[in-house]
Amino acid sequence: MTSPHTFRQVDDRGGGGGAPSRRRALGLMGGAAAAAFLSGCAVVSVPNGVSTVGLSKGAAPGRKKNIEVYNNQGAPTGMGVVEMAKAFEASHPDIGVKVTYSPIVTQDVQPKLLTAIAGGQPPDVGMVGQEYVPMWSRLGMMEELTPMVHAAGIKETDYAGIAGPRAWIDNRVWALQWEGDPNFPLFWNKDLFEKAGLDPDTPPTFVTDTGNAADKQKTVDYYAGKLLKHTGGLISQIAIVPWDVYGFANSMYTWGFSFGGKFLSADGTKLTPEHPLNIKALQWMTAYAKAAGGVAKLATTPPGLTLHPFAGGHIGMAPLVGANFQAIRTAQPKMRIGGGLLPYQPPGASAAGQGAWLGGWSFFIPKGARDPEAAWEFIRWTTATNAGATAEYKKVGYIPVYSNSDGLRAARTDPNMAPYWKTLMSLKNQRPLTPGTSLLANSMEKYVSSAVFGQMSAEDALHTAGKEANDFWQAFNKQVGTQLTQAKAMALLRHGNGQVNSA
Amino acid sequence: MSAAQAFLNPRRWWRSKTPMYRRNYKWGLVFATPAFIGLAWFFAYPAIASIVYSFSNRTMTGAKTQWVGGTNYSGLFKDSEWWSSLGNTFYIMVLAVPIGIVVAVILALLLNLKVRGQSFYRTIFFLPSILPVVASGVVWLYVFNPQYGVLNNVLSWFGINGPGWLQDPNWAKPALVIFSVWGLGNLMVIMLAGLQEVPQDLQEQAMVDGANWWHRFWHVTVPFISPHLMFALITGVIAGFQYFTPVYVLTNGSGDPAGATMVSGVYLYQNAFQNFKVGYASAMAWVLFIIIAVCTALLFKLFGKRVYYGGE
Amino acid sequence: MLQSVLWRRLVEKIASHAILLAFSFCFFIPLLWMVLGAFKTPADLNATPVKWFTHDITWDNFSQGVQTFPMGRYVLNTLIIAVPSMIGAAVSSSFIAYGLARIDWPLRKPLFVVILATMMIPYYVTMVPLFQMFKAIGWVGTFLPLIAPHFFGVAFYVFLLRQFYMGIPRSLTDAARVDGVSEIGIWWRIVLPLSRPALAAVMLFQFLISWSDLLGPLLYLSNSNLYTVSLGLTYFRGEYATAFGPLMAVSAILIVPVAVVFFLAQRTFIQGITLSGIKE
Repeated sequence: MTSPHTFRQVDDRGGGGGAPSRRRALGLMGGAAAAAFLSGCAVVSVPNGVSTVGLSKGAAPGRKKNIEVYNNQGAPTGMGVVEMAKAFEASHPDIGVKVTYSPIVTQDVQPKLLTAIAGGQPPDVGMVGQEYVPMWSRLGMMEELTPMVHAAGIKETDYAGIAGPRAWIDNRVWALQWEGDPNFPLFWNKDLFEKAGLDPDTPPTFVTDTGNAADKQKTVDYYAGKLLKHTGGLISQIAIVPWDVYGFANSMYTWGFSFGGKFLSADGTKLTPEHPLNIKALQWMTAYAKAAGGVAKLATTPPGLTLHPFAGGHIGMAPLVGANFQAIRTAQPKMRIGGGLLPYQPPGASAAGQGAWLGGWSFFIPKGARDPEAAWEFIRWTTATNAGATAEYKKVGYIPVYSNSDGLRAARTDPNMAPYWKTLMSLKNQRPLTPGTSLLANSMEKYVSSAVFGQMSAEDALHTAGKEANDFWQAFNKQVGTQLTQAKAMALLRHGNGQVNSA
Repeated sequence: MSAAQAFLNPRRWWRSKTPMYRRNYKWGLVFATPAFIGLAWFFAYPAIASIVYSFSNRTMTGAKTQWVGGTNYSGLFKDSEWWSSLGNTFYIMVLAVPIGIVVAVILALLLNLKVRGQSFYRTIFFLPSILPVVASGVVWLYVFNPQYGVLNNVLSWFGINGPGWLQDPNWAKPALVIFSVWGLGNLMVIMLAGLQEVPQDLQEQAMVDGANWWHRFWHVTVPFISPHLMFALITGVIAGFQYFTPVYVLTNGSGDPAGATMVSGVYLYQNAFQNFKVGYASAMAWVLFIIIAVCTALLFKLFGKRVYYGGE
Repeated sequence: MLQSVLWRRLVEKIASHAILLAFSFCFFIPLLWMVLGAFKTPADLNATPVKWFTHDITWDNFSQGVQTFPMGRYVLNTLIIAVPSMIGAAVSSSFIAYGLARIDWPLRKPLFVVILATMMIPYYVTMVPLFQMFKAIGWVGTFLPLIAPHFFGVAFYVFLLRQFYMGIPRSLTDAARVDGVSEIGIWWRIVLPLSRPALAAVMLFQFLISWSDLLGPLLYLSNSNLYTVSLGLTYFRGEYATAFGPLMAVSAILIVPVAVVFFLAQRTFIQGITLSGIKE
């Protein structure tokens, strides 16, 4: 653990050496190499050095039962997951938890987890997004949790917002959410607002022209005009980058919902990206891109970058996930940032923040897990107890969704988390829970960006995406059968209380 | 003739051969043994399994799988995304492979001159190959970034207004090509090695005969490095059709912007691991296999005769 | 006459240095950015316009990086995989390549085609069946799936070495044959020593492949004590952001020893590969 020190030493020697010969320079480099290796080797000799660092850990020794949990979170949240598992071990003397890192390689895909399940050697607990459950459960990749959930007396009303209802699909439970990812609150740069002559405490209420003259100055478009700047033909300052909300597909969800659009038909049997209000939203995005000019030279969002571009101080507003916002807070403590709900567009939508939708990871037990009982205890503790949810909030840092938890209560009053709390409590949307949703994400990614870059009309883009996704879904149903009635799932969501009459 | 005979009456066929033939046959088998074991152990099952899958609608787990005949294959012909992904793959390969070989040869030629600091230059050109791609991908995201980007910053020193690279549908593929060419260290080492085989006396003879630089290069150097050029071309094409990692590390495998970077390898991966159409993905793999095999055969046919092997 | 030759030599020298420097510049810029980035705060990293140098030099990236990343253990694991793979790949590929290049027997061409064909199957469709096979023999969770296949010839190197072996003059091996040396003897005593440098190149390539392989270790290793360098580096790539500073710091530390080894050994890989001493 002494590498920085080692490097400084090498620097000093190199600096004091006058005109070092080549041989000498070589020697120095060799020394540096050896030192780097040695300093690394020092880590090996630290007792338990490896298993206590990083994103994986071995199970605590001497437990009656041992389970393996696949962790898809990179640094720093991944270390939080390890810490959370340790907290679980501390309160469960019989169960050891091995945490194995299973990173996401390309959009939401966890190749290690999938290969392990398909290859017949799954972990006891894995992570999945709820929108994948309809597909994975029907392909027999998941152990049903319903009996355990009933036995433990866990109800969907135990969860904040729609987190409960979305897990109770057709009154069956396959995965429980251990973290909330309310996508998204809106953040704005107060300094930029001030410089542009806008009120630093008031973000836009509406997206675009509502037809009401009094609202004109409350729209994103109005702010866009005030904040847009070009230097040498390039955009040097911009109000918001609407197509850059964590990829084109997620952007489409966010603005589609903000316009009041729906991505699933009322009876829950068809994906509807081509909903007229979604088309309106995409038309607005493309018009915005055109008006801004030169969109092909704007940087997109991380994972590539350390900080979200919003931190650079040239973007007026941005919807941000928690991890990015926290990172900006830490790196730029002096930046004045306002946080609130997303603007909306009447008449389709009726309230600020309506564009937000719930993401987040859930825990599930893969089919074929060796110890489903102990695995369930881990899931129960992390997703349905105050201790677990609070440990998650403290160690990992995502907002928990288990209602009766100190973690959720703390988030409400924490100035950094409050916008997320508010968003979580008010949001009504999610990516549709259907087997066609993964394909819809692929298709929208392609066609929505084609529309933004002016290669396709908004109608064509969304119609094509919808057709591809629905074709895929139908073929899937034909092959696997339709045990799940999406209508019921939707009804559950609409009523929000799980009381479905009939469907 | 002999192949049929060998099966019908192996003993007689064997006896009818010359002792030299039989000796070579035996030794050939001995040297091929590890290859046979390796093929049987690590390739046979996965390859056969994936061929079988390609005629079914297998999903990730194999649950509810039915035979679908050639549907996957015929479906590919109608899949516009597949065609555009092939187009993108081809675009990248047609640029990256020749540029990579040409640059590697130029560098190797220069480094083969007795210039001072040879070792230093060689190390610099090789460094990118040492960096694990996980790290180099992240570095290049910064390099290509139009806002924080190093590349556009450097271009601006020369008064050039750089494009949006990975953000621009027209420039995303060239960006991938640049990233790939950057990692040509291995190819450079092979070319340098090949250049060592060019006999010095032949070069000097040509110089005495008054041959100019180009003539010497074309008529003396190229024939001697032709086996390695052939190697670079063939392996480049094989790898080029399976282009994956740069797209994963630079665009997260999304195919953005506007599907410009959706190459066949990524489309296959997406089908198998995101949409769980393992049968369909297997069909893609075998179509790709056939395309690669045909291209390789064509290249051997076109250039094979021109390759000069000193030992023949 | 003499003057013009000298003059030409000088021009040649200056020109070649100029071109080499220009290329070096292009190749080195991203690496320079990486090394400088290891000393920067996130704010400096994301500054617009680009900030090449900073007054606010930080060592946090190194301490953070080294804390997350048990470097010694991961380097050791990578070597445990890489070293046997290098030896296995070099010996087995050379053995097979000899048979393909130097022995005139009927299956020579078909076998070469089949070996080439193994390179043409996209990995992502054979990944799951291969995993099942390794699971069936109980190798999942060990280094073996990452090492053993290299002992049965690697197509890429078989092809590479075949190209080299085709270039060895016939007269050299024919003489030995006439003297009654067996083929294995010729391979072992004549061809292997002659191609030692080519084998060094194969070993170099195999080292780099084991060094930066991500998917193999990811699929087959589950115990974090067995993780490799490349797998460990993904720690820094989160879902929404990359810990660029620590990633660069760790990469910079890792790249130094390999670069030094290459710098010292490149003569062996390159000059030594020559077979010219024996060219007719």
